[in-house]
Amino acid sequence: MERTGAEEPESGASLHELYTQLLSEFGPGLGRLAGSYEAVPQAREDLLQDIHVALWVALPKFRGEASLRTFVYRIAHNRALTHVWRRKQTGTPDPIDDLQLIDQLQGPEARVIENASRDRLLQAIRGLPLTSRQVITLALEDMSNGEMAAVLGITENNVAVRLSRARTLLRARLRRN
Amino acid sequence: MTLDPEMELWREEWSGASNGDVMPKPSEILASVTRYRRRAHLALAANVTFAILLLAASLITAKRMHSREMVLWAICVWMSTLIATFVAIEGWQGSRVPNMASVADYVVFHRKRALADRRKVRTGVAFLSVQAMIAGAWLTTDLLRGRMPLVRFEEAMIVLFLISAAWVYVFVRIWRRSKATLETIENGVPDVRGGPHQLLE
Repeated sequence: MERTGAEEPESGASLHELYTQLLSEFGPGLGRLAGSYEAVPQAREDLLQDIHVALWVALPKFRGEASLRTFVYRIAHNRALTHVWRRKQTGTPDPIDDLQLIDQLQGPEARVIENASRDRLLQAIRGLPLTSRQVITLALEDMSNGEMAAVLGITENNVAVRLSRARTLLRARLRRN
Repeated sequence: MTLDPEMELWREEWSGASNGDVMPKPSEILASVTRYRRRAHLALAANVTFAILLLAASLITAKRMHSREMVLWAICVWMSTLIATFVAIEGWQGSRVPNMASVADYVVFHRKRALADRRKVRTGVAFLSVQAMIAGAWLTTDLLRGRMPLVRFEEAMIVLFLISAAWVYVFVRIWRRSKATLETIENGVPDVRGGPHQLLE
């Protein structure tokens, strides 16, 4: 979905429309992204809310110089970084430490079994270093190397190197889990 | 396009990963944005009003009185005004964080900001020390020369201590924030089993 400068969302109504469209198109992806940073549901919701507020505030400034997807994921990853910095500042433990607790909190066994593979993948991704986590979550959202380069602000070659490293790490973590 | 079975398998697992998440409703987001903007406006307005009131009050008092107590008053006014201005600028800077920038630019921006914060704290500590020393020496001289009663001296020293403590609190908060940011950027976030991984390459 590309937008040009002529289509700038100036009025509240068009802004609301664009946001609703953005929510339906990227909402699930943003939820997954928040899940790759936070295992604790409350913290994940807080991060998701923070991302959405930042999107809403930034939306009027969207000029269509990059695709809307790039715009959305730049903001989402930047807010997630701020979230990580804040967590470090307040001394909140790394989310991976809470995984056992989350597993216990998840309730019925059937649900745990049903979600085992997705939890396994999410757990493994949450344990990756930040740079690997960023690139792998973008790749899993089916982004091209060019799009990932635009989101991360690095060259396509660098994306390829990071992605290769991230895949190796993820593979190893999945095997370990 | 080359098929990548491993990636496709992961994508399939990944795409089912948001089933349990509660998506925020647009109305909730709007309410949050409204709250955020209202808070930012109120904080800025409060800081500016505070600064203006203090400056006006100090000028009026200075015109009417020329006693030694004015020294204490002036110290309070100017230090408090500095705090207010400082907080207002901090808030303004915070609202100018470029969320739309690429992740690399965002990291560079925050690194620069954290380094600037550290410089600001160092300068602030030096400035506060000089101010406290001047004020303390001035008040003590007045007491020793009998220009100020002991009770007034004690009150003045308590006020000076409280204002300095408020400044120290602000400095510590900024220092901790910049330290956390710099550590994450430069030393990386430690992997649970692996070593640190740098954000800047």
